[in-house]
Amino acid sequence: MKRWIQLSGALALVCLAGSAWAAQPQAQTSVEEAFEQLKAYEYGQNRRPLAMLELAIVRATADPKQGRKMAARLAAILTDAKTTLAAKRFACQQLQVLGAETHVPLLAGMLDTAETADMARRTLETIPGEAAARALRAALARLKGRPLVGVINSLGVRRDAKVTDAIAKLLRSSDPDVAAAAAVTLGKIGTADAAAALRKAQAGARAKQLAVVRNAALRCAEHLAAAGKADDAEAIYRRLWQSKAGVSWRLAALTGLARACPDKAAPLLVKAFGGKDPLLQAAAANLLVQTPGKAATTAIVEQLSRVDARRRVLLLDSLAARGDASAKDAVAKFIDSKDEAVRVAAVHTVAALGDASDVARLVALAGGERGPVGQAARVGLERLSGEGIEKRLIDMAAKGDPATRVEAARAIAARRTPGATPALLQAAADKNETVRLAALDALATVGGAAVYPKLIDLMMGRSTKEVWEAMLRAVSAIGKRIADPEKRVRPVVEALPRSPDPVKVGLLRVLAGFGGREALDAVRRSLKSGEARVRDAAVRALASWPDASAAADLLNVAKDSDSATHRNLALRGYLRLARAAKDKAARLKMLEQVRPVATTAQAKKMLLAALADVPDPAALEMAKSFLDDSQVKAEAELAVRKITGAMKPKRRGGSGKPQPNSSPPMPQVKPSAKTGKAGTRILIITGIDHPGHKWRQTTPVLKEAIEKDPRLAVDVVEDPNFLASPRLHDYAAIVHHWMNWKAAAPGPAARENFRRFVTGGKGLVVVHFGCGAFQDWPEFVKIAGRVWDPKLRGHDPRGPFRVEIADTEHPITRGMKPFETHDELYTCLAGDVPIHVLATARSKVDKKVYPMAFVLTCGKGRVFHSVLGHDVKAFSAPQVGELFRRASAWAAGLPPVARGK
Amino acid sequence: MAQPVPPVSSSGGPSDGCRVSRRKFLAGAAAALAAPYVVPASVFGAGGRAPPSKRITIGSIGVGGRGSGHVNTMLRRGDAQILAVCDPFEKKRQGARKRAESRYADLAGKGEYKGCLATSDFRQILARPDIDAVIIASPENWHPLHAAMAAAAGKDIFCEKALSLTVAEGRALCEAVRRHGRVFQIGTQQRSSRNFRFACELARNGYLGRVHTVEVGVPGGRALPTAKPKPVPPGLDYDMWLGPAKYTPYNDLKCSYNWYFIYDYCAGWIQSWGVHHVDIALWGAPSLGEKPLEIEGTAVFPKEGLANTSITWQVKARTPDGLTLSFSDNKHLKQGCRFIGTEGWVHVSRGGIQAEPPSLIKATIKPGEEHLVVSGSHHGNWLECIETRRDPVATVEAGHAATTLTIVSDIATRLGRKVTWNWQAERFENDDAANRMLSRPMRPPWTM
Repeated sequence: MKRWIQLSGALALVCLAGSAWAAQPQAQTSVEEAFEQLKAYEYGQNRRPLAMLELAIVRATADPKQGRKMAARLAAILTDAKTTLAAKRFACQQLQVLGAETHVPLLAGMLDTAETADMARRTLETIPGEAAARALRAALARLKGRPLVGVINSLGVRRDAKVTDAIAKLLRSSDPDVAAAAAVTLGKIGTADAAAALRKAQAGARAKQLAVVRNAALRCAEHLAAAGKADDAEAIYRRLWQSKAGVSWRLAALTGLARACPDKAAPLLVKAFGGKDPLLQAAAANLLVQTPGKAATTAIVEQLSRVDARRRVLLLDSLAARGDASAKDAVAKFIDSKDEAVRVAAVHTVAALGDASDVARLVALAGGERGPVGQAARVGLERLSGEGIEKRLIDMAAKGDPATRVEAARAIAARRTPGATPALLQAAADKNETVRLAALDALATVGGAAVYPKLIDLMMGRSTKEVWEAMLRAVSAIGKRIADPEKRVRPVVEALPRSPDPVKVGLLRVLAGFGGREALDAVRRSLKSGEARVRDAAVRALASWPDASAAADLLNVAKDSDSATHRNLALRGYLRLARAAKDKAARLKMLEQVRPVATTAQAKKMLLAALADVPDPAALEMAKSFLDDSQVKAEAELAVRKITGAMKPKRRGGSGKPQPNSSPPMPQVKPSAKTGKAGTRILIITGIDHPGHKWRQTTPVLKEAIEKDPRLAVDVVEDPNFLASPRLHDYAAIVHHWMNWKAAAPGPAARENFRRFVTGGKGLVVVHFGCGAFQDWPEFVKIAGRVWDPKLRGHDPRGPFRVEIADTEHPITRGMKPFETHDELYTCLAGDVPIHVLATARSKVDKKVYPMAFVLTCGKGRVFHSVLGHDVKAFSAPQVGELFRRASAWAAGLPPVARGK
Repeated sequence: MAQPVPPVSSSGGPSDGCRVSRRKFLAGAAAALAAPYVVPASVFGAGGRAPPSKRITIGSIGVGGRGSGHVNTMLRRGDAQILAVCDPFEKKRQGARKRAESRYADLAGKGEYKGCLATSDFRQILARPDIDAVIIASPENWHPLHAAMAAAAGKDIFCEKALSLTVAEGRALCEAVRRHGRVFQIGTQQRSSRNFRFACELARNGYLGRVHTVEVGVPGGRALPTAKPKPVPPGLDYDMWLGPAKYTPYNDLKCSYNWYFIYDYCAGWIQSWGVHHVDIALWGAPSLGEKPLEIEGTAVFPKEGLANTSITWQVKARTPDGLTLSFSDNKHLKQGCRFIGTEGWVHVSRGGIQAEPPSLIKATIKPGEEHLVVSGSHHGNWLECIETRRDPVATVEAGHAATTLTIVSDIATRLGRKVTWNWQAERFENDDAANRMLSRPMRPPWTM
């Protein structure tokens, strides 16, 4: 099965979207030829004639004459004795769209042959008119079993009322499928007679048939209601409701009643809602919501005081959805409920149904209540709709107790109430601080150009820090909404000279948010202020300028300011603008200006960090020029590396969506925190393994163990395909901690790159099941020394065992003593490449000695291979980590045991 | 063909001050009412495990590629329990069963563990009184049967898109769901994603000006080779696999995934992928689903091989007041849905959202404007609605409308002529042949 799916997938790719599958170029087949070929069609043959006919036939229906011609050809297919069964089936299917009365006799004849009965029946089903109906009815008496079921179904699809009596007799058939089909068809016929037959059939019916009959009765009820016979429908639903049927049937009955006769249903819905069954309760609540009319509203309101809190919440919510305002007063009583959920629902519903007269109540709740109830009131104030609400809110914001005024201001902001600004402005100067704050926040949202200068004037007076910040926010927000830059900036600039210093500081901040020439000039002037804090504010404003027009000023400050803080601030701001420069050339130009100004270590580091993001030879040169500077050598190296890497030609990848036939993006390497400080770089390659090997857990453990050697910095990449990357060669050694379990190993390019890496003189450390990678690559054993042979016994059961040191003179294991560990003792390696064993262990199962660690040379490269390391526990013995640490140093060309630390 | 239930005469109407109108009620438009404020959210969705009595028990019908994804999602949820899986392939159902039992064995220390039934006959699942709900991920031709029978058996339903193979079956399914008061969510999961909802709200609330064009692009279809008939392999209940589709012999190619491109089972990507973004188009520009549509389209079909659904297509559907839906595969239109208005456009896909002017992305829909139903999780929304008995975010009617639009588009490309689609009558105007393509007879014993 899988093979076929894969094959089809491959073929589908070959086909590609947009091209039709064609084995060889063909001359265009004519319709006549296609019909000829069709006659002999067997499944599995070339479907070309059928594909062509499928479209040609349906297209021919545009013209009645052409349609009839096609139909005649199809009929000829059916009458021809030589036609295959498959062809007949195809022809019958096509006739479903253009069959007519003339074809009925032919099709009726096919009903009597087992192999053509159903295809003919299906076509008869679709042909309108009495002839087809008669043919199907006649077949009722002749057929049995599945074919009879088919005919009964077809008569149901056609809603053939004339056949009701004949079908009703079949309700008692000993064939359960026939009896069931009969019930379904009566349900579709949907007349009073059909309903009566179904009612009779319920008595004594078995469970399965009873279910089918009940369902059919429901369908009848729908048809009767649609035909205006609501009483008949009601009778069916009531009978079901009162029967012993299970809850889902009673739900259907209730639903049907609610649709067919809503007023009569309301008391039943109420009863169900008050009943025990949660399904009926919830359904009744929803149905009550949907049932129009005052009767239902009244019924719901009556229930409010009778039910428990949970259902009360559902009902209150329903009343909100219904939107019938007559319920509001009853609902409002529940705002004082003891149950918080009920209170919340009541507040919400009052707001949904309410009007201007409810503003005061909601404002009081918003101001007086903590938690969900107050929150519900706030939301309610937002959603309240109708005349006069805005006016009430404005009045309430203007006077009254502070809590009220605050909430009114909030609501004004949320509703974007027009015409509220004068009242808000007045409140913004109020004695009460909470009122002032609320008014200012509201102005930030709704204030316009008219209030703008007045607000700036307001800033001149004394106020607390909080109010002050609120004023700034408001001025900023309103200013940003003013379209004309002059009208936005001018009032602020004009206010500067007459402002006290603290105000100047704030206004400068506001100007930095606006930008523009006039604002910049004002900030420049403030740079020369006699007041330190104003100068400081000016520098900060420049540093956060929205565009590069402030760049030159910033550079000057970075160069000339007496204050180290300001120099750094200005430099940082300048570099920020450089980052946003419109292209690489502009950016580079700006960075070049920094060079003479960057005299301190910190400044140089900032410059190098900025250079590192510019993939350009000029940036590379500039970064390189710092390599001799001992203050920033590491940063320079990093920048050089980053720029070099970024300048390598990118692979075609485009939008990021995988394109067919393009290479995937290169895997991301996670660099060591020691990069730049430690000299020798190791790369752990991991990312896939047998599910039992939790590489995500073991990799950090392994990395930490190796990095205990201060000379070594370990990067990690979670994708073996990195083996194809040219950046592989940046590393002194790689740690192979992956195995392509149930997946393809990296391809030829990766393998070649990997082979070159090792044979060219670098190092390799293979960990545990790494020996199982590349099972389809015979060369791998030459690199790894030994590889996993699935035919051998895999390993001892995981557990404790002793590792012996076989060579205490080798640089890796010099001076190491035997140790205990807890791991899988691998017994499954194979290969005859010469290796030098460094450590062994004896299997508890077969008593033989197996290598636990060994080394070999591969070309000019050094390879260390250890089968230890199944999980974190296997790394917990310190000697295991030490073994891998020493091995990594050795593989990287360093003497294994590091001094110090 | 069954008609939608017309209004019943009774008292009550707009004049009695009640906001609920009869038309809305009968159209089953419960979702049009304001979203509830205090619906208790399930706290057991992720991580925490509900006690057995509060878990929704589920049977999964169809556990191939898509279905097993749903099973896995439910296995991770604390508020659901998989009690049964069904698939005509023995291997697929046993695999799903084992995953479920293994998962519940792991959790056995914390709660109850029940065995999981594996069957090839979905009726066994429907007959179980201890199963509350079903997830349906069978081929399109099976959806309405599985879902309607599940509804009649008293189960709530999550059904994969598209709703149905034909318009007639889709309509019958809508009626069955409403008849039995079941909670039904169709698997157009983009409705539970914020970007799609936001894009539709922008379109509906005039942020784009007057929306005049909606563009929908989805992946194109494919051709398939021919395949020889073979004996049915052991471990496949082929009769159950076929279901209502006409008999054709078994072959190795069609029974997993490739059936999407075979007209007996599905109308192709124009239907089964198209439905996702057509659903969004309808959500953002609802008059496309209300006004008559003049539809014309062309398509390229495979010239041979098993597949006979369109590979590439271009369809245009226009309303009388000039709103156009342009619906194509990715060869002609970018993946996703784009609403274009007189003052801007917004394009949304699973990859992200873009707009012109770009500031639209940061717009906030105001309190008084139209807000669409918020759902953060398509499965979570369904499970929550099973408790509250309210309509979830993607109702059976919404699924039917989106599916219908894809079907009539496909019909237009096959007919190669302009047709006019009427939503209220649910028929084409003046085109008998087109109308006969709205339904297909079923192989017995199956019938809707």
